[in-house]
Amino acid sequence: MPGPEVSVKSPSGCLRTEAPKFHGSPSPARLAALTCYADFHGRVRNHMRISRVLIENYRNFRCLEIDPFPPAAVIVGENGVGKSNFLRALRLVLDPDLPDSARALRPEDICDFSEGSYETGITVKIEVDITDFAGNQKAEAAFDGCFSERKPLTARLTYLFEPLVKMDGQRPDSLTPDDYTWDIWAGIKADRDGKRIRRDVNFTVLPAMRDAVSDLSRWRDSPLQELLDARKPNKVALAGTAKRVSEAMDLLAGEPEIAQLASDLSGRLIAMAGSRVDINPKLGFASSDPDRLLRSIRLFVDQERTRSVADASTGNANILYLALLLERAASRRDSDAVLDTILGVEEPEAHLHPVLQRQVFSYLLRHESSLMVTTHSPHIAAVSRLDSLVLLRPSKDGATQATFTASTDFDSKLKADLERYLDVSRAELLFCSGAILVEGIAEVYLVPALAKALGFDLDAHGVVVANITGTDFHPFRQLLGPGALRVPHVIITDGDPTNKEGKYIHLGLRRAAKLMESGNAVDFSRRVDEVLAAGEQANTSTLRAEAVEVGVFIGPKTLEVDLAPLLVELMIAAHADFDVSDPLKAAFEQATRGLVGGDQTHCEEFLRRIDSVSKGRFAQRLSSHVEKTDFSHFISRMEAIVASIMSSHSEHDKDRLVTMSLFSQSTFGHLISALDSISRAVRQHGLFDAKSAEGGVS
Amino acid sequence: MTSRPLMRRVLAAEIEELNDEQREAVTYRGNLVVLAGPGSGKTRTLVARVGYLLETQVEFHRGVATITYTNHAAREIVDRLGRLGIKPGKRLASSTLHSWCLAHVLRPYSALVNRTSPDDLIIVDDKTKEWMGILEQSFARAGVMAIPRYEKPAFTRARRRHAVGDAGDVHDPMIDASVVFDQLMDERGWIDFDMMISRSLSLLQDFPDIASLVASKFPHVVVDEYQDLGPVLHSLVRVLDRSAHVRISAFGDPDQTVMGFTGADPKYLQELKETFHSVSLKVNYRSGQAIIAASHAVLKEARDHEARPGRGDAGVIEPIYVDGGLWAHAEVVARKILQLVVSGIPAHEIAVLYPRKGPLLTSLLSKFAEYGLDFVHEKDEKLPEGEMADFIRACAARTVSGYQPPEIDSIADEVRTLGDLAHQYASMRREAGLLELPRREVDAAMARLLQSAPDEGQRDFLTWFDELVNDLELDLVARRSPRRLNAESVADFRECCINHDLKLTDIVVGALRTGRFTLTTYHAAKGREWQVVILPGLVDGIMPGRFWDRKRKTFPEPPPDRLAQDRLAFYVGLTRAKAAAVLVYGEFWETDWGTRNTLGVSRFMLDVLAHLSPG
Repeated sequence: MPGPEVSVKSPSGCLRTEAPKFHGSPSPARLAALTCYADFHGRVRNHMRISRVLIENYRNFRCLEIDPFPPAAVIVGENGVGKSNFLRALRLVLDPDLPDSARALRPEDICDFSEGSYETGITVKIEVDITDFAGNQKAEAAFDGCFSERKPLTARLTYLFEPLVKMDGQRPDSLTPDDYTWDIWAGIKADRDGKRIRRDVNFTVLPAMRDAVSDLSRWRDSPLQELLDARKPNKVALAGTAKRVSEAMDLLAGEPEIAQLASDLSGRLIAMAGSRVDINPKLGFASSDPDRLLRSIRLFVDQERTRSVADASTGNANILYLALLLERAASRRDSDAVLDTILGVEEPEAHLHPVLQRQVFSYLLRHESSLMVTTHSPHIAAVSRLDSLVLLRPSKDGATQATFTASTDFDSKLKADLERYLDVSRAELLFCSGAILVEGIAEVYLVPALAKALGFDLDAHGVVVANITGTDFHPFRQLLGPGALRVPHVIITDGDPTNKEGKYIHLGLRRAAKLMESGNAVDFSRRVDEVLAAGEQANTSTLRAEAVEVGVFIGPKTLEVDLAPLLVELMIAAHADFDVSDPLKAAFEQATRGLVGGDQTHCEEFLRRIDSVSKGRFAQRLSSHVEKTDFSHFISRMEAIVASIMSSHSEHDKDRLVTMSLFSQSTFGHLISALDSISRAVRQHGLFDAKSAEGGVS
Repeated sequence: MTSRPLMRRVLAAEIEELNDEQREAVTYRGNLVVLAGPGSGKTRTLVARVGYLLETQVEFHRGVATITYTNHAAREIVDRLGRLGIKPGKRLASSTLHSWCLAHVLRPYSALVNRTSPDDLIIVDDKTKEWMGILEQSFARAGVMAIPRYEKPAFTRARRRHAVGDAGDVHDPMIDASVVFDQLMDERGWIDFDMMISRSLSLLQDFPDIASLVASKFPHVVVDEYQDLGPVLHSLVRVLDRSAHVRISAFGDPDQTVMGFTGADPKYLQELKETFHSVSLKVNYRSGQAIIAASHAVLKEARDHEARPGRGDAGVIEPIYVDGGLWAHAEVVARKILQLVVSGIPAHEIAVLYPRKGPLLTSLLSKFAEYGLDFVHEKDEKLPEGEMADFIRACAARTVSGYQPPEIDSIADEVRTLGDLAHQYASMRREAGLLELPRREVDAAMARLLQSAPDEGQRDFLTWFDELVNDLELDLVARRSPRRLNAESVADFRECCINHDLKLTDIVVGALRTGRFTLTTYHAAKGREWQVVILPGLVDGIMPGRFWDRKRKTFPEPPPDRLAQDRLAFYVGLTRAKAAAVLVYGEFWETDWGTRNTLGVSRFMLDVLAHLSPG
């Protein structure tokens, strides 16, 4: 995109008296401000920012606390989860352009999942902490009276919407909007005036439904207006320009065609309305009044001033609009009109090509700490800093909950690796409702196919199978676990009992130990050592079952070997699909059948054959067979088992019994029970109690 | 009146917490007298009443006027209402009596009735040379044979009586002087605070239609410290009540009349009590029962005040007899303070009260210095007064207190924020006709100048002061101020601080946790409280005071009115104590020039002793 050019709307060439100041290169101070937001640690600074948010009983939020609230926050969540309402809550506290009438809430503003209602009386509270201004004396003065903490120096603002009461403290029986009052308080006890702060620090939202092109074209709505007003050229330059514009217009008006048009129009007006009408038509292209001249300035998107904003693509217009908004915020800051503007941008991805999304936001999110965005875009989420992410998702009670990683103590290398993973995986883990973490590409093909064959469409339920290409599940467990994003997930991993030399190592169990709490891990590791010592005689099933308790589903050996009993015919067919010689086909069939028959000596040949066509390609082929196959026999067998557990055991540990029972049924039990677990998390019912559960719902 | 008497939860909770009498005082509909004994929660009740009136009794476009004795109290009402969620803006006029008269009677209506608008007059403060000059001329013309400097209180008393048409039975040349005084002021186009009030009274008396305009704006007028506001206010209140049907709420305590020398008299409040509904706030939340009972003995009249029900301790009255002069008193006080601090009483919870400057104060100061005691000596009367001085002192308070609100509730008084101070500064500049500065620049300057230093004791006060004055051009602001009082105030302030070796904490208004005990006067102690109050010098001649009669060369028995005033002052001092009152008494004292005066133990002390061991 060519750089924008500012000019007076007129034929080029006739008023190149002097370059407008605005077009000049930025002053050293501005340049410093543009480039120095991030210090050498990459930490964003210099701008005050929101450091904590609490919302109670407002719209989607029964009780939402985001503490710490990250700088340059990227708020991710599905439609209807309340991303816009979150921004609106902040506007109630900090937006000077929001009329006070909007702060008197209506019944529809109350969270549906709250205890109590508008009629019976409810209190809505929104607390916003602001920090990162210590040492800025203007800000310290403005916030004096609002402080809630001294280290770091933090100010707290509290919007409170609550019922009026009778003198005895009782609420009236049925409340109407007239029976409520609202106020914005400040300070640690929320007993000081906080209303005034929005003159000093404000929050502006760029809404999702915006029309950048028409906003930019209309003078009134364009951020360009304020920017030009703030940097008015001197009077002499304006007057000189106006004079020349006037001369140029006279020149043009003197051309016979134009002059004729003007006089024809005058003639008609006089004929129509007589000479008493006070209209004296004259054609021109800008007002000759120097004060109005600035308003004739239009923004062009090329240096030749041939393409106006209206001719720009919607995407480019949006970027331009955002740039102008940020420029306006900087200008307000410079002029002391406000101390700082916190900008919320809804769905910045609108109309932007994915490549541009990545580029623009990987810059902005690292350079504008007081910016926050709400997004659906995996491209933007993917380039976000890990600790900027805030995930909004519905909780079990229906109200929206937030999860975030800002309080998790990732080490910097780990964080960098996770950010890189999110980047290349297009942040799928952030948008999913549940995740199955696997070692490699084979599982990525097979697990969804198997799930689908068992009646569980992972895609449709937002479950992703994430290939971590390796066995170091620990960082992902930290990211998705209770300390951070709290995304329901399971880990599927091979047992890998032996190494290439046939020596027992039980790597799968070792991995599980790493994912346990330190106390349990020591005991678990000790018992793994005992299993190792037992060699061939060892039984790993007890330990593997224990690993299930921490969400780690370990197979006895390797994926293909473990699955062979279930998919024997499909494997033989899949292998045959490849361009291999008949003897090799026969050898594979023999090995597979032998293995399923219980003879472990076939194992080596079985795996060699699969490796020779590549594990991934084999799994890919196998998956298409799996999807076409009817597993109803297997399904009804499992349903019977589940049904008997459901009918015979006490209420509280049924889910666990089902999981354990499915786990121990077969060599592929870990896959089946992992799918069952994730199904319970995202569908609220297991794989094999589908009929009763769905019947219950409908 | 609103159809549903609903109010904010915070206010309802506040009213709920009050005791029955306080609640009655808050919610009574009609003219009301609230007799608020020491520690009875007067301000709290008053604020709740104002909040209740604004929220449920007064229509939206009308308001409430609260009239207080000091600007500080006026601001406190607004601040406390804010804490109750009530930000009435223009619906509340909270100010001192003369400010209220100026802003809500003289300014809006003078021109309407063809009287000179105060905007065309010059305000002359009674502490200026100009004012004193007029007084001297008045005395000369009226034939008052007295030194004007010493007779200001008597003159003020006479003036106020004259303003309400009470010329007295016998001819008083002071009354003549006050007539001349007003004429001289008129001729020069000058006006002082007393004239603002008396002019307002006459305007309202002469024009009932104006009185009802005031009533339309303020259907309720709430008066604080009624007992100290004197006869002119009393007449003003009667006019508003009778001719304009303004509802009056008068809060006060006749027993705590300390401004008797300016014409204040408990009788006015008593008089209102005859016709208005009256509520007596009996529970004393401050003092133990023993202290309350002793204080009643001082009044020599029965009172029904009692300690908070359920309070475990009765408090202590500790009489200490000193067989010696005032130096010995001071020695006892110094040792007592050391002993109290060792026993764990925080120093800022101790106060030593003295009646007035003189030999007692001299002895106390030099003994404290000898013992190396660290204390805050409130020399209010020495610091210049007026807006500029108040501003500097408020800046000192913010500097000492730090970021607002403080993390712990360390102080009773609200410390003003940087924003408030910047706002006040801007308005002072405007009044002085100086160039307006960008708001943010003023903000930043305030934040820089009032940065709190952790080692406040070490901070060089004069550096702080000079920086504040230079950077804010305070001297210029003061000189250009339309208020004459301000003109020399910065230089005077500085000089006073140097002369008395003041520190930052010394000039702070109100009580801060400074880790030092307070040395102050009975008068200045009013409205405040400490765990332990020490009252030394309870010797006849010191308390009550006696004044040297040059002709007769004796210290004669004080006149009854002076005696009554000292008795009330002593009552006020004694009732400041929460847990203990230490009464140091003796039989004689020495003058500054060393003469011993043996006039016996203070009669107030004798009353307490008789109460402690009857028979």
